[in-house]
Amino acid sequence: MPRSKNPRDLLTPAALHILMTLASGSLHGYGIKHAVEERTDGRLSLGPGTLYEAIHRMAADGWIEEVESSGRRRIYRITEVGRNVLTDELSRLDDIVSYARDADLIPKPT
Amino acid sequence: MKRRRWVDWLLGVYPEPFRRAHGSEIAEHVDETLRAAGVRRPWVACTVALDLLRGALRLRVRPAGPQLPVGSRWGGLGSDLRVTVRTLLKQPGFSGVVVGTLALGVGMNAALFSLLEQTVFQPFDYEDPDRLVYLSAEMPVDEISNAHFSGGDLRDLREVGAFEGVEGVALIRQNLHGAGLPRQVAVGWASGGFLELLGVEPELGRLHTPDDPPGTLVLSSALWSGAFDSDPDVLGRSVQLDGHPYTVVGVLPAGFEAHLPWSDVSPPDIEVWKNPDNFWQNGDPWGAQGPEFSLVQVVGRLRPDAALVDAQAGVDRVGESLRARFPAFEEAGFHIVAHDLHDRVVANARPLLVMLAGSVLAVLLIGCANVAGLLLVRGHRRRREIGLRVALGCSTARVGRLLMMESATLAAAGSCLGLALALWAVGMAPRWAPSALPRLDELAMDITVVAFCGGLAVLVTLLVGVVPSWIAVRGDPGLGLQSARVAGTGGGAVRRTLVVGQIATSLVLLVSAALLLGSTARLQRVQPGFDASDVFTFGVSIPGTQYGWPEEAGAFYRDVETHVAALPGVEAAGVVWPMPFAGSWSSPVLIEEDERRDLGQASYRLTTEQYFPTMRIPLQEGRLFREGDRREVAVVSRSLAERAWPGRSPIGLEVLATPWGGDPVSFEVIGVVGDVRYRDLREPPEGAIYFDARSWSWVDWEVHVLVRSAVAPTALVPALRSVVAEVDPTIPLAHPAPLADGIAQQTARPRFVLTLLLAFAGSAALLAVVGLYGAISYAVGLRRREFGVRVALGSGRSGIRALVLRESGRLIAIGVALGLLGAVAASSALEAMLFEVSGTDPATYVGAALLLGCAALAATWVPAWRVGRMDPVVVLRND
Repeated sequence: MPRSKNPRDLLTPAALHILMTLASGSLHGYGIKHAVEERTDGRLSLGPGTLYEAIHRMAADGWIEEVESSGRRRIYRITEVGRNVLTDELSRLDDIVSYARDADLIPKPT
Repeated sequence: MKRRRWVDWLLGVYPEPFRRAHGSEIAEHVDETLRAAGVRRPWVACTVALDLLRGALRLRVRPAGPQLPVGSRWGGLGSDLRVTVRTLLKQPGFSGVVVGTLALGVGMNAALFSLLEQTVFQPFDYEDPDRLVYLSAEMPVDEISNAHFSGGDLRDLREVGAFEGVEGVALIRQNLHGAGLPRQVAVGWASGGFLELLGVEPELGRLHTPDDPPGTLVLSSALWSGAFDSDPDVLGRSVQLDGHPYTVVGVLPAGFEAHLPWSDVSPPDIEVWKNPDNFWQNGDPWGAQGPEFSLVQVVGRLRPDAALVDAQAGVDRVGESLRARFPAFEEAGFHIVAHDLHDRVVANARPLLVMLAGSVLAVLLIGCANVAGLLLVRGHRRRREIGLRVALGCSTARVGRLLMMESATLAAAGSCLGLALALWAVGMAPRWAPSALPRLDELAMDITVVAFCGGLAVLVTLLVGVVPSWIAVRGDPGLGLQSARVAGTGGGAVRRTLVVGQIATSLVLLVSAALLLGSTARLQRVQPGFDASDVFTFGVSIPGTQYGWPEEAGAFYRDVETHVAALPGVEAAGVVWPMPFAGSWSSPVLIEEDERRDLGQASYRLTTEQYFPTMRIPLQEGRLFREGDRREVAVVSRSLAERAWPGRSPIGLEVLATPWGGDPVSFEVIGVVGDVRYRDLREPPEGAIYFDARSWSWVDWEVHVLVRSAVAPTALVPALRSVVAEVDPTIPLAHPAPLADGIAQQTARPRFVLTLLLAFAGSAALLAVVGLYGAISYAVGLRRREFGVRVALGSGRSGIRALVLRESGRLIAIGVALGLLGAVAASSALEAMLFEVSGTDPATYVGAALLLGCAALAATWVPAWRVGRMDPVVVLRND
C-alpha cells in the first residue's frame, strides 16, 4: 500500500494547491497552473519545474493518477490516498489557524 | 509550437522517466507561458529556466516514489561518525601514528606528482604543442648530439613536406643600450616566423613576420618591466644592440618561455628577440651554409595529417644531401633526428623523476601496509567489543561499516594533512631543487594534483581499511565474546605477506640510497684540477662591429685583465672562454707525423696566460703564452700530451686543431699544464687544448674574466664594474658570481636526488621496522595462551623467546632476500647517476641488508622478551 505522507512533513505549497485543485475535478498540468493562479489572485504562480516535479512525485506516491490523456496532455485526478492526505493536511492547518485565533494572533472572523 | 533549445537542454537534466512522461508537455507549457508574457518575456524566461533547473535537481537528489524507511541503509551514519571520532581521539597515540604515517606517504606522493606533472607530463603552453618537432643534428663519429644548423640548412629543411612550417633560433649575447643602464641581454636571433610557429600571442604590438626588414625587436615581458618600466608606449622606441639601431615592435606575454634543449647548464631567459640580420662579425649564419655557421636550433610544426615518422623521412633526405655536399659532415656520420619537442626538452629529467616517483610510491605502500597492520592488531584487540555489538543485535555489515568508517576517517585525516604538507613542499621546491629540472618555476598545485591526492586517499582507504575490516568481521564474531580461547589466525598470511613485502621494499630503497650516498661522497673528493675557492667570475660581450677581430678584441680583454689585476686585494685575473662548468666547446684534435692520426675530441679553450695562475692550474712543462707569440701556438693538458706523444716531451711539436671549423690548422705546442675536469666532475678529465685569447678572442659572445681575490663580492663587484667602464663605458658587466656556484650546480642534482632518496629510504626503513614490531607483537598476542600452556608444562622461557625470534627471523630473511633481488633490478635505473660506484657494489648490499636485518631483529626482540616474561597463571586465568 502506498505510504501516506509522514505527519511530520508539511506538504509543499505546490502539492497542497495541486491536490486542492484536483479535488474539485480532473485537470491537466497547464490547467492546474491556471486554476491555482486564479484562486490565489496570481499570488502563487507555479513554474513548470515546480509544477511537474510535484505532479511526478504525487503520481509516484499514488496520491494522484492519470486518466486517459487528451491529445498530448495528460489529465490527472485525485486518488483516495490523495484525498486522505489533503484532508489530514487541511485539518492540521485548520488546527493551527484555530489555535492562532484563540491566542489572538490573527483576528477572529466577525 | 516553438521548440526552444534551452528548454530541451534543461529537460536533459531530468531523469529519463520524467522526461518521457512530461517533456513535451513542459515544452508546450513553457511556450504558452512565454507567449503570454509579452514584454516581460526575458524575465519570465529566466524564472522559468531557474524553476526547471531547481525541479530537476530536486528530483535528482531525491527521486520520486516511495522512499526506503529513513535509516535503513545509511541511517545512523552521523552517530557512527561521532562514535568513530570519539574513539579515535581517545587513543591519540594510535591515531597520531596512523595519520602521521599516511600524511607522510600521501604528502610525499602529492608533492612529487605535482613536480612530475608540471615538469614532465604537462605539454608546453604553445598552440597545438603535440605537433612541434625539434630537429637535432647528430654526429656519432665525433660523439656530438644536438648539434645545430646554419641558415642554409634551415632553407633546405623548409622543403620537407611533412612540415607546415620550419623556423630556427640562435642564441647570442649582445649589449643593449638606450634603455636605462647598458646591459648584456640574451638575444633570441630567430627566423621571422619562429614565435608565430610556437603560437604565442603578443602582449603588446606584434610578433616578427617572415618579411620583416632587419632591425626590429620583440621584448620579453621581464625585460619590458625591468628596463622599460612596463611603458605602454614602448612600441616604436629605438634602442641599440651593440651599437646598431633597432625598433621595438612587440612585447611577449609574461610567462612565455622558449622551451628548447639548450646546451647551457642553466637555460637562458631570452630577453630580446630579433630577426635575421648581418650585424654579426663572425660571418652570416643565416645566409651561409656549412659546419662553421651551425648556430641555429630548428623547430618544425607538423602538418595536421603528418606524423613524426614522415618528418624523419623528410629530414633524412636533407641529411643525405648535406653529407654529399660537405665532406666534414660525411666523415662525422652527420644525420638529422626529428624529436617530439616536449620529449626532447624533458628527456634529461625524466629518468630521475620516474625513479623518485617509484621510491616515493614505495614509501606510501609501506606506510599503508603498516597502517593496515596496526588496524589488524586493533581489530584483534577489539574482538570482544565487536562480539558484544553483534550479540546485542548489530549486524555484521554494520560492524564492518563502523570499522571501514574508522579507516576512512583516518585515511581522510592523513590525506588532508598530506595535502597540506605537499602544498608546503611544492612552495619550497624551487629553493631546493637543482636547475636541471626544467620548468620548475612553473610549479604550482593544480586541480590535477588535488584530484591525484583524492585518488590516493581512496586507494589508501581501500588498502588500509578493507582487509582489516573484512578479517575482523569474518567468521563467527561470537568467538571473540566467549574469550580468546580459540586462537584465531587473524589474517596471519596477510600479515606475514605485509611484513615480507615491507622489508623487501624498504631494502630496495635503502640500497639505492646507500649507492647514491657512496657515489656522492666520492664525487665530493674529486680533485677538479683547479682551485675554485676565492675565484670570482663575470662576463663581458663586445660587439664585433665595434671591435676588430682579433687584435682589437684581444686588446680589450687584455686591458680589462690588467686593470682588474691591479685592483687592491686582487691576486690574479685571467680571461677564458668558455667558462668552466658553464659552457663547453669540443672539437677533434689531430697530429700529423708519419700519417695523420685523430686524437678524438678535446676541450677547446681560449685563455690568457694569467688564466692558469688565477685557477692555480700548474704549468708542468714549457711555458705559457706571451707577448709577441704568433697566433698558431697552443698549450695542451697533460692527458692530451700523453695521448698524442706517449712518453715524449711535446714542446715544439705540432698539433692540428679546428678552432673555427673548416680545415685543421697546425699549432705549435709551447707548454703542458695539469689536467682539469671541465665538463663534468664525474667524467675523467678530457684532454684540453688552450689557444691564446690575445689572437683568437671572441666577439658578440660572453667571454669570462676570472678574478682571484679574497675581497667580499659585495665590495668587489662595484670595483669590477667601474674597471670595465673605464676600458669601455658602453660595455656592461654581466653575471657576476663566484666560480664555485657553477660547480655547485654540477653537484646539485646528485645531491638533490640523494637527499630525497635518503629521506625516502629512511622513512621506509623506519616504517618497515615499526610495522614488523607491530606484526610480531600481534602474532605473539594471538598465541599467548599457547605460550602460557607451554610454560606451564615446563617449557623454558628462553625456548619460547627463541621460537618467536626464529619465526620472525624467517620472515626477515625472506624479505631481505627478495629486497636484494629487487635492489639489483632497481640499480640498473640508477647506474647512470652513479659515480665510481658499481650498481651492484657488494659492500653496499651487504651493509644495507645487515642494517635493516639487525633493526628488524631488534624490533622483534621486544615482544619476544615480553612473552618470555609472562606469568602463565595470569595468562590462563585471564582467559
